[in-house]
Parts: sequence; structure tokens; C-alpha cells
Amino acid sequence: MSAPEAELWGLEPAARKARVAELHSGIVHGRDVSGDLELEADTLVIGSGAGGAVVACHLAEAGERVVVVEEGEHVPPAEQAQLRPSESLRRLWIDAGLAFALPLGDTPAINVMMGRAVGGSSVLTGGVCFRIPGRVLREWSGEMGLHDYTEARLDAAHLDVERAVHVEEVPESMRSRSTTRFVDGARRLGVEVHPIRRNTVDCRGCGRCNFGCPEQAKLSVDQTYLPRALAAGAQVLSDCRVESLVVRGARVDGCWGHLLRGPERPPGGVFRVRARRTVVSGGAYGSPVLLGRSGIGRRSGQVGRNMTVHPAFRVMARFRDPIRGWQGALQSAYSEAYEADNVTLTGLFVPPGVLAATMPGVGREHVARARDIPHLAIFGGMVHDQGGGHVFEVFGRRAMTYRMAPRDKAAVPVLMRRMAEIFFAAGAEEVFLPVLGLGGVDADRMRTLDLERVRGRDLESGSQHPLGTCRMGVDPKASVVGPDGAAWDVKDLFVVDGSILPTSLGVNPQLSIMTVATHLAWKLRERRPRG
Amino acid sequence: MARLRSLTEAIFATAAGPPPAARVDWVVAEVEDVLAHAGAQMRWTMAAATLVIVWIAPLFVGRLGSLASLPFRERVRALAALEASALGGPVLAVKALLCILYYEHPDAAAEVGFDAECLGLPSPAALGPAAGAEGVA
Repeated sequence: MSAPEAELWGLEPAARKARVAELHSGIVHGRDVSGDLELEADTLVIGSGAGGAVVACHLAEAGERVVVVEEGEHVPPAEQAQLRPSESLRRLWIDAGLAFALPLGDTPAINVMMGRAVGGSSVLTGGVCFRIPGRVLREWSGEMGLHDYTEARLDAAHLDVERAVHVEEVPESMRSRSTTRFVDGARRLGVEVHPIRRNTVDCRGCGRCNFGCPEQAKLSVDQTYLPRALAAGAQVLSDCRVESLVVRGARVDGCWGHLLRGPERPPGGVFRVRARRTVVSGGAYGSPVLLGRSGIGRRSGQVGRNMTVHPAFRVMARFRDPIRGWQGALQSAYSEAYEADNVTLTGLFVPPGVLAATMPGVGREHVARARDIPHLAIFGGMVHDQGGGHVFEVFGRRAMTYRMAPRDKAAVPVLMRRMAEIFFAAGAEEVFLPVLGLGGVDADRMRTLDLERVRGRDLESGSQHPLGTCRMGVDPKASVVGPDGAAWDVKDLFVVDGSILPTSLGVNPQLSIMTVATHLAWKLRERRPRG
Repeated sequence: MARLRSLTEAIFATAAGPPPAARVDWVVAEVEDVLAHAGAQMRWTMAAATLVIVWIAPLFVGRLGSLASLPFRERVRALAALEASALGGPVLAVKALLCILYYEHPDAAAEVGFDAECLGLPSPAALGPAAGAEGVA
């Protein structure tokens, strides 16, 4: 590998974009393939997100013949930069960003947002990068017996990823006024807030990272690991929906599926990939369904179970003076002051239409409130949840349910109250809590609200962090894969993505997924596929 | 799509009446395109929510029939009453999708003071002659 591919982010912006575009031109669009397709590989990688891209890169650079198949569309980074938010939802997100986990019990209906594109969910993040927290690793390596997963043993992988995707701290000068107000309020109350680290270079702060970066400044895997894989000879194909893994005797021999032709047209030809080793990296919503459909993982009964999502809730605050929260970095500060309550607070912003959607009223009342959008600040809080989600297939369609644990539900009023207090300390006139139909709440009314009695179904919640549906473990009866990512049930099959993380993290997971993928890719590199 | 049109007109009405017809047409076409990309579960949910709103909302102002058959002001009143009731869930769901799309129209964004350059809002040319007639600058 030549140095420019390893550190494309080090190039001048124009040269970097040109080189990324050049390498992306090697991606084959399944929708443009006529007839059927047969391929062979040393390693087949199913999925091109934070897990799959990293594995593909390391194995291709080690000289393996690597084929990556991705169900989603290939939208080159330069084209992503031109999309409106709703166009991004349509082209890059699963179910146009409208997938919901059906609530069981006292649980909100959670809008779970995931990527379906070359680059996977990494193209939809705010770029936030956290290492796997030490407390989480202590649980994994201690009571769960995953001895390889300690801070010391993962340090090299963490460092390798941080270098590859150029993790940097967001300077205070790039904070939006929305975040600055929150930080001011937090300081007045003595609540510690820290700068966020992100995988960016040359960011100008457009506040729309989730919908495609206009400057290609967010270094998602389609701008880092995938170009490296392509430069090393990997074949990457988009629009390839895998129907099933091919199981021969006790081993997996690749996969087959259909070439997709866009939402308006039926699938086209059939593709088959024969591989000596198969890595499933379809994410927490895709991988368990593929394993289940292929008859793998039934022994443990754990496939698709144990999903955690980090249920997230945003609180908005209206200030008298204009905030224009879209000017500045989308996410630039966080607070772990309430970790004891299983809550992490993180800055964010959302497009005006999403803000307006939370405004009560119809007609003149709604429009009058929508005119407050430039005066709104937002901060988000996520729950470090215990799990309770289930991904499955019914009548050929994916679905998910989520039952919020009582401990996690109890964290929601804490999160709302703390964020509201901070905004009021910063001078907010009213806050908008994520409670359906509640409307604006001033400081006096806030003190009287009995938030503990709000029913789950009345809460508005979202998630971009589904994890854990093919969890890793040391007991084949209680996990889907072992500590090396290898499936317990069959040979030559590995799962490497967010689905194998055995617990939630309490922080944004993209760096954690890339780190675990690097750790496992290095092991796979040493363990050449059988001939 | 007549149902969606009647909802869009009512939700985004101002004192001057419903939004310009060209803008409503644009939003309705965008909703159709989003739903074509969404999963079956969401398409079914949105269709069911729209159906419920159209037939239940008039009952909240003491009228029978579909929402589209009501005079414009009655339509707004009926929707507001339904949204504020315990049965308001379908209104919130449909309104959320409509809002995401409606405020991507450059005129609608400008009306609420949204001036972000980076959000990729469509240019007047991209919206066709109808937008020009609305005076998009």
C-alpha cells in the first residue's frame, strides 16, 4: 500500500477528494450488471460499514482476494454532499429513516435509524468518536470472560483506527450557539462538559453531518478504509442483496443473492460468491436476519436477541435572541456527569423540518411556532441501556421490537430534568421535552411536572446505535460468536460489526465498532483462509 | 393523494389561507417518493394514519364525512382538535413526515428564518417553473 491511501486525509482537500473519487470509480453497481454474476474470493465481506470496510481493508492489504457486497446504493461522497436531508434519508438510510422498533410494555416507539449504502451507517454519523469506555471493557473482560478485550490489549487497535480516520477534537471556536448556550448553563450549575472528538478534516461546521458532508470533511469509511481496500485490489459491489449464506456440510462457502435495481423496479439477476472465508458485517439489523435465514445460530437461540439501542431523547430550548443552531459543528460537546444514572448527554442539531415536526398545533398556531426555529437550541441525552430488543424476520420482512427495562425507563425523567435545568440556567424562556403533545414548558411549570408518570408510549425517542444481536461470548449456549468473531455453529464464518458487541456502550459506537473490527481483522490476517 | 393534499394545506395554513398550490404539489410528490423508498411497515402505517385522520377528524367539530369535504377553516379546526386529543398520534406521525419535507422547500424555509447555506435546499431551477411563479429568490 502506498502512503497516500493510508492517510488520504493528509492530502490537500482537492487532491484528497479527487483521489477518493478515482478509487470510488472502481465500485461496481449491481444495478448496472446485466444477467447473473459469479465471483470467487479468499474472503467475502457482506456489508461495507464500520465493520466490513475495516476487515476488507486489512485483508486486502495483506494480499487476500477480497470481495465486498453491499445491499445499499453507491452514492459517492461528492454526491452525498449535494443531497437534501430527505434525499439522504431516501437513498442512504434503511426504510428511508422511518424504521421503528415496535414497543413492548412501558416503552416508547423508537425510531431506529441505520445506513443502507456503501459505507453503511458510518456515512450517517455526526462523526463522534469515543473509545470503548474502560468500565465497559472491565465488564467484558471480567464477568463476561472476554479476556482479549481490555484497554491495554485494544490500545493498538484504537490507535490504528484513530489514525486511519483522523480523530480530532472539535475546537470551542467551532461550537454552534446551540451548544455554547448549553455549555454556559452547565457551567453555571457546575456540570462538567467536555469537547467531543470526531473523524473529520477541514470541517467548516455546516451542522448537517448526518445527511452528507458538503466538504467531504467527515471521514466515514467510504473515504478511508474502502478506498484503501479498493487500492489494494478489493472488489466492492453495491446493490447486492444477500438472500442466504451457502452452507455446505459444516462450513460456509459464500453467499448468493439478487442484484437490486432501485426501489421502483424488481430485483434483477442472481449473484453468487464462492469464498474460502465469509465475514458477515450487515449490522445489528441485517446480520441476525441473514444468519437466521441461513439456518445458522439456532443452537444458542440468541440470534437477533439482546439488542441494545441507546434510546435517545432530545430537549429543545427557546431563547429570546437568535441561536441559529445550524451554524457550527453538529456535535461538539458532551457530558458524562450523569453516568451514575446511565445517561450521557451529547450536543446535536437537526434540520428545521425535524424541529418543526415537534411543534404542536396546526395551521396558524403551528406556523407561528415554526418561526421560533432560529431561536431554538438542542441537546440530546442517551440511555446506556440494558437491552430488550429483538430483530427477526416475519413473512420475509425484517422487524424489531424493544422492551425498555425499568431501570432504563427510570433514567428518562432524570435526563429530561437535567437538560431542562441546564437550559433554564442558560436563560431559556421555555423548553420542549420529548413528550408527545406537551408543548412548551417554562421553568415554573417544569418544577411541577411529574415526569416519572409519563408513559413510555408518550415519549418521543430515536436511536442510531442498535447493537448486540449476534453477541460475542465464551459460552456457545449464550452467544452467537466467540471472542474471535467466529460463529459457533459452522466453520469459516465470522461476524464483525456492531451486532457482536456484548453490551451497550453508553457512547456513540462507530469508533468502538471499527476498533473491534481492526482487532479481529488482525487475527484473521494471521489465520489465512483454508485452501 | 387528495388526502395528503388536504392535510398539507391545513397543517401549514397561515392567516392568508393554505400555502401556494405549487408548493403543496411539490410536498405531496416528495411524500410519494419517500414512501416508495420506505419499508412496507411504514407505508402501511402512513396510509392507515392518513385514513384515520381523514375520517375521524371531522367528528371533532361535529361533522360527518371526509376531511377534504370540510370548508378550509373547519378542516384546520378539526385537525387541531384531533391532534390535541388522546387520539392525536396519527396526526403527529403524518405531520412529522410532512414537516421534514415542507421545510425543505426554499420558500417555506425562508418563511421561518432558516438561512443555512449548507443544507442543500433545492434551487428554484430544480423546482421547476412553479417555484419561479412563487417568486423564489
